[in-house]
Amino acid sequence: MTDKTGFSLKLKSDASQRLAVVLINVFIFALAYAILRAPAFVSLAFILLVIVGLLAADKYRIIAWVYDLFIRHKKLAFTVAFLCAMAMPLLFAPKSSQYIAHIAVMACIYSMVCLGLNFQMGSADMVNFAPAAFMGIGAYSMAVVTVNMGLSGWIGILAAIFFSCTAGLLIGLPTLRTKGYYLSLVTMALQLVFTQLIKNIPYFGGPNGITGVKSLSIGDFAFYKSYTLFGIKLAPHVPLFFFCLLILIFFIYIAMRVGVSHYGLSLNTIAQDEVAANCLGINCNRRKLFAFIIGSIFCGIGGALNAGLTSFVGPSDYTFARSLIFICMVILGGMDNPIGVVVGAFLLTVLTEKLREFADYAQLIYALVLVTVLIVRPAGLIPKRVRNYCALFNRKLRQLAEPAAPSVSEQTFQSEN
Amino acid sequence: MALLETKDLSIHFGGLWAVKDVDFTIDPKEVVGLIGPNGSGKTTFLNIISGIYPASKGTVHFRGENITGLKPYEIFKKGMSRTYQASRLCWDLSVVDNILIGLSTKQKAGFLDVILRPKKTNDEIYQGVQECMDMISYFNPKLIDRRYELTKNIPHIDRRRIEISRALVGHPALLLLDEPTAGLNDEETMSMMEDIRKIKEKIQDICIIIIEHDMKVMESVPQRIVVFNAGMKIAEGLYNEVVKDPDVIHAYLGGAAV
Repeated sequence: MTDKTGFSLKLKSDASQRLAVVLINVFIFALAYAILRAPAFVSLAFILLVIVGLLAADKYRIIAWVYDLFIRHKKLAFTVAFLCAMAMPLLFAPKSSQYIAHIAVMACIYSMVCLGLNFQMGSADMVNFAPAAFMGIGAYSMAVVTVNMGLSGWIGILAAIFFSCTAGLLIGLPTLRTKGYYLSLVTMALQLVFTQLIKNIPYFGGPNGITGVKSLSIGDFAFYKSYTLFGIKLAPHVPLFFFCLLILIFFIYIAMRVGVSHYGLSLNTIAQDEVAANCLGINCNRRKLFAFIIGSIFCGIGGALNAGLTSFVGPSDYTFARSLIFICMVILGGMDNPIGVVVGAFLLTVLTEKLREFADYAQLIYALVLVTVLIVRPAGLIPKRVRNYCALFNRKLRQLAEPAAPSVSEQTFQSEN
Repeated sequence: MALLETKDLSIHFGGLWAVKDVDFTIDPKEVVGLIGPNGSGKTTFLNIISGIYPASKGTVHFRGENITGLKPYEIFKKGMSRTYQASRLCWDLSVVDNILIGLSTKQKAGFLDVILRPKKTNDEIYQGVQECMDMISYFNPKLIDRRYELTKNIPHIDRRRIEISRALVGHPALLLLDEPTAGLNDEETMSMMEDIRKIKEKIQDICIIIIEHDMKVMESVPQRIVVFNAGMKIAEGLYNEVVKDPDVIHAYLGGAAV
């Protein structure tokens, strides 16, 4: 922690720091836009560039530096990021870029699922091989409510929350008795059972799935419909994209807050040493169930939105292979770091979609990227960060004149203050 | 009334009685040392009273309540905390996080509080961090500067201190120290002894049970010594009396020495 190789660009004035926050934010979103928009190979090159860049950035502490900067100007960083994110759907507005808008919405949905999985896999180290099953439960609840029962999509979402929550509880309970590999095996089995079950129940459409799932709508305003704005015909995904982005931002917020709280801390403790956690007053079973339930709710909502996006649910969308992809996303992005998880989900979703024309090589490149990153840095692209309570209470600590000098790693910045 | 009282406490693993019929009491404010040869059941005894192993037979009463068969986290909430022979810190968490875990039962913030973080939750976290810093700086002020470093980068003796701080920060009534000086050199053992005395100075009401092999520690720190051998309590009393006890000498040095 004391090495001096860390990157430290000294921005003395408040204004220059604020400018840096805005510029970095805009840069990140511009890069995301470029990756989404560019043709396959250019996009691939961008993705590789981002991966290499992130690996290098962590080595020279640039990620920590950016984090510090953003935490310092929390409100500004959030506002700018929010505005940039909200501008994204408009950039995909023309109907011609329909497919790209589709990928963008998918990336949002997969990010939600990965955030859910992260509670179990990242925080509590319970590798759950069934995120796709939880997602499927949400998707099927949505499909059954809207198609078989003919009710509104909002009731579908509520049903998705309810059923995925129940499923999380039911699947969580037996897995509490197991640990490590055995827990993974149990979830793996449940994932396979889910796919088989869906395939064999005629009410759920069997192997053909259910078609014609209604998307969400508020009154006459449908979330999946082409609108014309200022004479430009918009892609039909735009309203859904806005909605998904809002939910994703909300989920990231929840994941970050839970991560920094005593909930996240006790999950981390359980991951590292269950006996010690138990002897420190942490009710391990309750906490693990919490991780399962909140994770499956995230997955379920993602699934319900996915059903609304593709207007189709089928067993082939929620298979074991899909679960593995989610796990890869979490590992690539960085376990136990919500931002990292979202980055991982985004990169891999785009990678898979862009390489669709070269499906023969897609898996190869996919695997290559993953293996390389895991060799170079097993912690993922944006690794887990130490909880920084100093940043949490910046203002308070300044008032109280905390006796301690700020530590080296997180405060390349604090010292100039 | 005794703070902790065990009656006929026993546990067997297969056919082996690792702890057998132990009657043990500790009074408020007392410091008791447990000694005994390797494999005599000292750690197992602590594991039973802290709830890690269920007792095969017998009862444990803590503060007048029967705590036999309770889960470790329930026992912790009743005011008993412990450390381990081999540090059980979370290596991938920072120093302050490791200590903060000891407060997790005191943090009342519910899920909604955590998400919305109203002022009272903020204050709670802030208070918690402050308490942790106070606790660790009491043992080694230098650790404050290293509070955000991962515990795997911290030297061994400081890890011990972190572990003790973690156990103490929730204000337990009874602290169980399982070989706090294991793996420390002579000099470090001395400062660890000093630290244990400091615990008693800081929290005068606290009761401590120490398992230790180092006789220097045992001579000076505890008020009373209990000797274990082959799962049974074979002697009890002041240090000077106990070391002269023929049974104890026999247990430690074998038959020839008697």
